Amino acid sequence: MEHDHNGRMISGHFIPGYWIEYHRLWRQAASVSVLLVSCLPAHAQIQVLQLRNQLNAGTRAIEGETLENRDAFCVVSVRHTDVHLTFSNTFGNSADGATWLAHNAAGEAQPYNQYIEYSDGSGVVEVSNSSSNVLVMPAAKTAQTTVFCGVGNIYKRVKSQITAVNGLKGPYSDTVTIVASPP
Amino acid sequence: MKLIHRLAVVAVSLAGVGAFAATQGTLGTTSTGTYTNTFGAAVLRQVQILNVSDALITPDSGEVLEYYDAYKRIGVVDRFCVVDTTGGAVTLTFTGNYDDTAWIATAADGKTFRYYVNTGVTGEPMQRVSTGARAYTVPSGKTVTSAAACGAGNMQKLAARGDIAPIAGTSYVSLVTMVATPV
Repeated sequence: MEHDHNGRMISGHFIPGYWIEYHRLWRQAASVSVLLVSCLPAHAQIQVLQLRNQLNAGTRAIEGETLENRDAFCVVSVRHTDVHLTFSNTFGNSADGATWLAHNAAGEAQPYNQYIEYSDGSGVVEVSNSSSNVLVMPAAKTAQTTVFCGVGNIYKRVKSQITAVNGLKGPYSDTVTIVASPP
Repeated sequence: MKLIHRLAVVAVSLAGVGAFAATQGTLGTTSTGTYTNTFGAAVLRQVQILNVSDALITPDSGEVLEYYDAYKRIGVVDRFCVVDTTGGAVTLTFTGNYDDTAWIATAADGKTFRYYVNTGVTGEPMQRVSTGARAYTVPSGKTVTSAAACGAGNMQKLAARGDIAPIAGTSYVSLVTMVATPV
């Protein structure tokens, strides 16, 4: 149990956007207590979840075959504020900065594009381009709790084209990190 | 005359690959999650023939269009399903008792009766598998990638009487085996 600067005991719980505090005033000489309730703005509480790996997928690694798949994940913003999503990857960008790279066991690279978009395909950001690896998700698009995530409120889509050489030397993998932060 | 056309099915598969686990962000002032993109993996390729049914042809069976719709014969058309988990092309090879031009059904007393077998993609004219290699290749994209996607059947087959009428009151049986092989 915590105490405030007046020595009052504090307990409480969290609801979307607010921290509800219960202040109980103690009087040592008496058995009377007074309950005070206050609502304070919560610290920004953010969560990124429902992330899944993508095995691309369908994939026969045929020369010229374009592999493209997307799936949803969820961003929670308890205070319902905008959320910055910053994307980075293990193997970095191609020399021109236009794509990310996935590597096979021999360290050979396969370029690919990573897009982030909404369910209707709007708001596309190509985060695998070195100049656009941050996406600002508007408050209205976020979920206030995980209960409202559903199938997810934002999509990640990857696209790559297998070349004759690379197609024979897969699989190529790359791990992506998403950091969600307040504006 | 009653002709019972029975089918046995065999499927051949190829080998495949697995995956890693994504990590979910926790609720906090910032939240970090990771996932892995994998490309060009040798996805488990499996093929399957299912929803195959026996064909019972009687004098009351209606006429069906046979051999690229070139002939009308008394017979039966029904559907079945060919799955390729990668959606690739699959060759169906038919074996059983046949001569140079037709399949042969046999009665209990040893008498025989010649008939035709056709197959093809649902909605398209069927070709005979009564002559030549007795094989049909389901084109890439015409197979379905899971049993759940079969619906009423992506393939159809036909068994139809030959030109010579059978002996009245005699039942003839023919067992046809289909083998599915990835192309």
